[in-house]
Amino acid sequence: MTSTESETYLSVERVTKRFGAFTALSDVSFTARRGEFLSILGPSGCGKTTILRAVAGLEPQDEGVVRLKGRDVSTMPVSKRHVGIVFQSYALFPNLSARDNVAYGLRKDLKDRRALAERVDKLLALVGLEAAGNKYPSQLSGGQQQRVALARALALSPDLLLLDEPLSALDAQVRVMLRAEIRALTQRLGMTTIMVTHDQEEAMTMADRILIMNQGRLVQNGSPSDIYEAPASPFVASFIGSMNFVSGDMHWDSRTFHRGNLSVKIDRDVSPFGKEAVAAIRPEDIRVSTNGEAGPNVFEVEVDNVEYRGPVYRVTMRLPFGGGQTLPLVADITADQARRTGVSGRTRAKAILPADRVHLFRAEA
Amino acid sequence: MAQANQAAGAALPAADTFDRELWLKRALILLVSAWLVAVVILPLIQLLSKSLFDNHGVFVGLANYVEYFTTPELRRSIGNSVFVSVTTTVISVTLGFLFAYALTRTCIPLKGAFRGLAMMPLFAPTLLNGIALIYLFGRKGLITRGFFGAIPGFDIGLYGSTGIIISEVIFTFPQAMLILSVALRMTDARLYEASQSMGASRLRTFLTVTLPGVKYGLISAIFVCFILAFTDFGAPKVVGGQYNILATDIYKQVIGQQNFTMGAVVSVVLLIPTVLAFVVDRIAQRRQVALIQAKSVPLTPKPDKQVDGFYLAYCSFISLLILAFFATAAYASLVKVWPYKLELGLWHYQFRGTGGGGYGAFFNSVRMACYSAVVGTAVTFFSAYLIEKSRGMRALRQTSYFLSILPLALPGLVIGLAYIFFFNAPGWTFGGITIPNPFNWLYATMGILVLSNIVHFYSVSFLTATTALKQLDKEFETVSESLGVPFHITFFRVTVPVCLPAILEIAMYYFVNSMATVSAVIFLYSADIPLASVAIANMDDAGDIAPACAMSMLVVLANVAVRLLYGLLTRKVNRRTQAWTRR
Repeated sequence: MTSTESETYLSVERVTKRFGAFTALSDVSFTARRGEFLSILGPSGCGKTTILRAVAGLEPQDEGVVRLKGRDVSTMPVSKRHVGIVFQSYALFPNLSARDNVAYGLRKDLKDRRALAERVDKLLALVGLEAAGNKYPSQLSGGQQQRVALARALALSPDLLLLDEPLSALDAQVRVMLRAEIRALTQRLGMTTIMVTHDQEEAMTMADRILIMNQGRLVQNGSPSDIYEAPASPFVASFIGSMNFVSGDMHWDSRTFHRGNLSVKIDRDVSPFGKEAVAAIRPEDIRVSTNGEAGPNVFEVEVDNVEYRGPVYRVTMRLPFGGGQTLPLVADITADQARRTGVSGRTRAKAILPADRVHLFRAEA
Repeated sequence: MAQANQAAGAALPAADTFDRELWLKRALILLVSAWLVAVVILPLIQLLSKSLFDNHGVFVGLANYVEYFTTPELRRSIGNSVFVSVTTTVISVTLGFLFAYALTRTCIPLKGAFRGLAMMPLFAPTLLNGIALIYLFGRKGLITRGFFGAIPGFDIGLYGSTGIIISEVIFTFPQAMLILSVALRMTDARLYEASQSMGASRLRTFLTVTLPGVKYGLISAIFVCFILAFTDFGAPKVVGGQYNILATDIYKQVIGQQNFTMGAVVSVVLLIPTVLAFVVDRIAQRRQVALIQAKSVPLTPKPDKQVDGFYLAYCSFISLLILAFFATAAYASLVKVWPYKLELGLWHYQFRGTGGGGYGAFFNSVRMACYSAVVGTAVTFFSAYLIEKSRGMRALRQTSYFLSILPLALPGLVIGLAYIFFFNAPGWTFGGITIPNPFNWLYATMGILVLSNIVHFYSVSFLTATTALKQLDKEFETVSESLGVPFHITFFRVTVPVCLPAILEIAMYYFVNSMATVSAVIFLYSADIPLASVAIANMDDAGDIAPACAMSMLVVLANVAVRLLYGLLTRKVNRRTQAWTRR
C-alpha cells in the first residue's frame, strides 16, 4: 500500500465481518487507484466473495470502513454506492430481452425513448453484441450472456465494477477470449474493477494487482509477478503455481540450508528467518542434467518417473539426504531439455537448484 | 455497525445512508407477521380461552374438559374419529400408492386420463361424496335395490362408519395419490441398476430401494390423509347417521344446541392430534429436501407385459369406480323422482320449494371463490416473496414462515368457530382497560368468508409460491438494488411474469377449495349471504337430497370449468415462456 492519498480511489480499512461465531473477514485492508484492476484470489470459503459484497454494500461489515472517492460509504446501501455488479450466475432476467436487461437500470433516468435506445445500442456495441439485442437470455450462449451482464452493470457508468467469478461458468476457450476482452474494456473505460476468482491463471492474466486471501485474512497483496516470484507464505506459494517444500535448519553464517547431510546454498537475505525454516523451489526452476555436472546445489537424484505434459515434462525424483532417507522433488523441464538430457524413469540424474531461485519461509508451528 | 473513522473522508448526508427499500421491506414483513398473528394466532387464543369459561362468561378452568371427558356420548366420538380416520388412511394410502406407482413406474397407456379422473374428487364438496353414496348404497340406492330391481339388491349398511369411511377414502385418495406420485418420481435410476446388478429379487428391490426412497412421501401422505379424514365434516354429516365423530359433534354443539363453550372444547380436542400430525409431517418434509438436492438419474420405466397388464387393470378399475360414482350423482340430480320416476330433466336445478338460497347461493359462492382467489393469491404470493427474497432479518422471516405454514394444522371447523368468537367479540378487557375490537365490522360479511378461506387454504398456496420463488436466481434482487431499481418494479417486471404458472395454480387452488368448502363457512355465513356448500348441507338436512345433489353438481361444474380455464391459461403462459427459451 504505497499509493499516496491523492491516488487512492477505493480504500478498505480494517474490515471485519462475522456470521454468528464464524469470522468471514478478519481485519482486511487494501486500496485501489483509479482505473486499477484488482483481483481477489483464494480457495473457496476464504472470504473473497464476502469482501466483494462488503465493498458493494450487500453485506455491511461489522467493523472497519469502506471509502470510495474519499467518502466513507460504510453505511450506504448498495443502491446509492454507484457500483456495477456481475454475478457468477449473471442473474439476467429471463423474461426480458438482452436490450431490456441492459436498459433495466437506465429506464428511471432516461425517460426519452430515443435517448434510451441510443444508450443501449452504445452499450451493446461496447460488448460486441449489436446483433443480439432482441434475443432472450436463454437464446444466447454463455459468453454472450456474460457480456449482457457486463453491459447491464456498466449501463449507469458506475464508480466501481465488481465481478464475482465472472468467467467460471464458461468453456475454457470462451473464458480465455473474454479475459482479454474484459481487461481491454475496463482499461478503455478507465473503470476501477475488483474481480473475485479462484482461478489463478485468470487473476494472473487480468489483474494489475492480486490480493490473496485465506481463512478470512488478506495474506498477500502485490502485482502478479511479485506474488509469483516472491510469495509471502507457503500457502501463497502453493496456491499460485506449484512449489517443492523442504523443512530443515538454517545456517546463517554460511547462508546454507540443511536437512540431514544435504546442504543447499541460498542466495537471498536470510536474516528474517529463525533457525528452523522451510526452503522451497518451483518445479520450473529446477534443472535436470545427466552428465557429470558438479558445483554448489547440484545433487544426485533418483528419477522415478517422467510424465509427458505437452509443452513440458514433469520429472518426479527422490533426493537422498542421508540414512537411506529421501525427499520428493518435482521438476518441470522443457521438451527440448528432456530430449537433450534423455532423462527417463528409474535412472539416476543430477538436479540443479539455482541458489537465487530458492525461496525461504518461516517454519510454521 | 461500522466504527466509522470520520477524521478522513467526507461524511455522508443522512439521505444517502438511509436505505428506504430495506426499511420498506422490513415494515412489510412485519406487516405480514402482524396480519398472520391477527388472523391465526389471536382467534386461536380466543378459542382456547373460550373453552375455559362457562356459557355465562365465568372462568371455570378445566371444568368444561372434565365435563367433556365424563360424558360418555361425547367421549365416544374420539374413538370413533380415530377409528374412521385410521381406516381411511390405511385404505387410501394403499390405493393411492398403487395408483401413483402405475403412473410413475410402469408403461401403461392413458396415464393422463387416469390421473385426471383420479383427481375428480378434489373438485367436489365432500358433501357430494355422502350424497352420491346414498344414491348408490342408501335405502333406495342403486346397488341396495339391485339397479331398480333388475338384479338382487345388496345392503352394505351405509349409514355410520361404513359410509363415512367410503366417503373419506374418495376424498383423500387423490391427495395420497398426488403426494406419492411426487415421491415416486424423485428417485435415482442408479439405485435400481445397482440392485439389479447384484441380483436382488423384485421383492427385495422393492423393500430395500423403492420403499426407503418414498419413505418421507409416505409419511406425508399418511398424515395428510389422517388430518383430512379426521377433520372433515361434510361427508359424515350426510352419511354419519347416529355414528358421532368429533367434527359433527362441534357442529351439533354449536348449531344444534347453541353450546359454544362445548363446541370450543371439542375443537381443542380435534386440534390436538391434528397439530401433532402437522409437526411430524413438517419434520418429514424437511428431511425430504435433502433428498431432492442429491444429483440423480431419472428412472424411465421399462415395459413389462405382466406388470403393465396388472396396473392397467387396476387403474381402469379405480377410474371406473370414480366415474361411476360421479355419473350416479349426475344422473340422480337429473332424475325426476328417484327411484320411481326415472324421467330425466332439470327439475332439481330450479331449487323451487327448497331452502338454501338456490342460484343466489351458488353465485354468492362463485363471487366468494373469485374474491378468495384474487385477494388470496395476491397476499400469499407477495408474502412468500418478501419472506423468501429479502436479505437479513432472519428471525423475522423465520417467524413469518412458521406463521404461514401453521394454518395447515387448522381444521376448517376450528377456523370457523375461532372466527365467530374472535370477530364477534365487542372488545377485550385486560386489567381494567377495554380495547374495542377493530375487526368487529367484518362479522357476518362477505369479508369474513373470504378471510376464512384465505387462511384455511393459505399454507399450501404459500408453499407453492415459495417453491416457485426458490427457482429464481437469488441475485435478481441484488442486481436491481445495485442498479437503483426499487424492488417493487423488479417484482412486477420480472418475478411475477416468471412465476405466472405458479400464480395461476395458486388462484385455481383458492377458487376450487373456496367453492367446495363447507367446514369453515358454515359457522360464518349470514342469512343474507347464503352459500352453495351451506345450501347443500341445509337441503340435505331438510331431506331435499335431489336438489342438494344438483347444487353439488353445479359446484363441480364450476370447478371443472375453472380447472379447464386454468389449463388454457397455463398453456398460453407456457407458449409465451417458450418465446424466452426458443433458440
